[in-house]
Amino acid sequence: VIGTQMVGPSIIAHGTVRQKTTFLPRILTGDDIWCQGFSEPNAGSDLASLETRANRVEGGWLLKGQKLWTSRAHTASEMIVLARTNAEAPKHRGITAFLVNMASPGLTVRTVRQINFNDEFNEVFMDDLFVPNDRVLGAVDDGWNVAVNTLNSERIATTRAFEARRLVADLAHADEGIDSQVLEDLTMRAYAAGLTLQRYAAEAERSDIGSKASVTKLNSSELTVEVARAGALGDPSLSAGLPLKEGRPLSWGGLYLNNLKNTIAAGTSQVQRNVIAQRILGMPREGAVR
Amino acid sequence: MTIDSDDLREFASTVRDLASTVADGDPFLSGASDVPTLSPRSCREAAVKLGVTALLVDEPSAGLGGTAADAGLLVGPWTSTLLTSDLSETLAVQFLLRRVESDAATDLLQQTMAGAATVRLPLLSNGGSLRAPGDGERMHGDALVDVSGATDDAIVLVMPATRDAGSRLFVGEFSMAAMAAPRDPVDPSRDLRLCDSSKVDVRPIAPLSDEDLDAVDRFRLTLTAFECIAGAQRVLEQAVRYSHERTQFGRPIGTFQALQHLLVDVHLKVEDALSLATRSAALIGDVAPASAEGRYAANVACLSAAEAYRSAAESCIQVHGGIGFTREITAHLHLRRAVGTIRLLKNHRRLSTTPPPSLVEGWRRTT
Repeated sequence: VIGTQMVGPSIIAHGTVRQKTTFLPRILTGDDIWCQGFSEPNAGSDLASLETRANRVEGGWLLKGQKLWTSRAHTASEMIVLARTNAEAPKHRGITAFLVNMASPGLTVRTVRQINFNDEFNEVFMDDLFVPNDRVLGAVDDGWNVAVNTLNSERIATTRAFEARRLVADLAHADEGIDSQVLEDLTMRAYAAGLTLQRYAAEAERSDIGSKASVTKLNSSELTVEVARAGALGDPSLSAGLPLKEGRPLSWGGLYLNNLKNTIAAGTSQVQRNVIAQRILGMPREGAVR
Repeated sequence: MTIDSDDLREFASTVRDLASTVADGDPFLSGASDVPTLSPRSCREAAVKLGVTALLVDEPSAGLGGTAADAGLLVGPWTSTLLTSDLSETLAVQFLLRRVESDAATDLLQQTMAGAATVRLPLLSNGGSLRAPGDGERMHGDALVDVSGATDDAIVLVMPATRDAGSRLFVGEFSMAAMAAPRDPVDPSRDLRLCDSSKVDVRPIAPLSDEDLDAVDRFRLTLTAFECIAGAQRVLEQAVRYSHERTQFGRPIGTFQALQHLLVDVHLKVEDALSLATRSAALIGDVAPASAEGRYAANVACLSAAEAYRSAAESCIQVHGGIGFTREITAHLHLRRAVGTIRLLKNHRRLSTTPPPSLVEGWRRTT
């Protein structure tokens, strides 16, 4: 998903001809698995305050810093990395995007254990990792625009409207003794969420829908938590509890824990609400002075 | 035929301008009057000519041949300015259109389109508590009717009613003077009257099928949903505007995330309701029994739109703080319209939110 729906579109939008011919076919064939080196210990929702540095050297750049919550870094072959290339520029302006090979010397991956015992999260350490010039994506110091493109693609990719519908259908099918009014309410919302996604997708074919992807991302990610929670709380069998070790069969409890990441990853629900308030409703930004 | 969307947008904008002009000039709606009575609406005649009724009538019958989705665009401007659209007339005409093989139905349709008769469908479910009379009997029960904007001395009520033998379409002429305002109206911006059906002569003009009843009812729910959505969008805009103007702690209150997130949650409800209404409008042409999704979409569209409208109006009052609790702003009128609509829906009958099993089962296969 990161390759086909996030990095791919960014390479199409910002890459050189050579980057497109090198990377795009391998994304489509699945030869390259991509991960996303954006978040850092001190740069989560406030991504632009990232601290990983890239210093110019002969023929390329040396990267030094740490990335966090890098999903599937332990199995990926390539990583898109944001690093600061100009410490003097305003924080959104001095960032550059790099396409990093995971086998590069100076790169270490450490897995972080997740609450659902299904470990995909990693820390990635870069210690004078060399990246050649032809692996800079977009213009130097223009990485924020690349990131915005990737993040907008990510919000569409992480719209979980149809996943929510499938969960609701599974819940109805499982007949776990869920209160029928609760189930009907969740069904109605999943039905609407899917229709909203289809409505925006049709609109996106005609014009730029800007931040509207945030609406379906927010809405559907919260819905996947609520549906799985209803399943976990409604299922009286002991095996439906919250998993405490790896390899348990998929249960409503396991899904519930798993889905909690949906409202954090790709912009937390709170950040999405800020984005919608300011960019769609047109409410004033913080710092606005009258 | 679907009306070309640019033409329709221009048409909708004309209706919006007209509605705004009337609303600005109305002392009650502009907040200049404390008296909860309605002033005459000179725009009414123009509204009927420009509005949804004509849009949805086919061209040979002097209409414009639009679709339900087209109509959704047109009913909005009226509610957003707190006027009443010609919905109950539109619905009466829809019944007549479905029964044009009846001479009486055709006559009444032609008179309506020529402006020679004012027709209305009662607000409650396909006639609500109306009981079809047997031979030699009178009709029973009260019909709740929206007469907003009616200028004639009498209106013709088009009433579907059911008895053992099946459903029929009845018509009866009611004098405006004989109709009583219902007690304790929630929404003074809508002129509702009670018509005692036993007091007038009503006559059957055509038999009705379950399909007719279902189709017109889905129409009613879908267009009501579009009305609510437009009202919700209007109060949401008012709240956002005020959040820029009002300053506390040295900054516009709209910069506070607590307010931003409150209004975003309203926006999510409105957007989902709009998706449901749009879907329901697209399914209007589907007839029973294949229309299980259409019936479901109409029910949930209307319920969630009315709920989104209520939530938007409440939040608008909340964002305005003290002034929101006064009649200086129109948010309370929108709240009244929203609550009035919810109450009418509840009286209508319980709208089922049980999804058709085939719809949900289909979702299991989505990847």
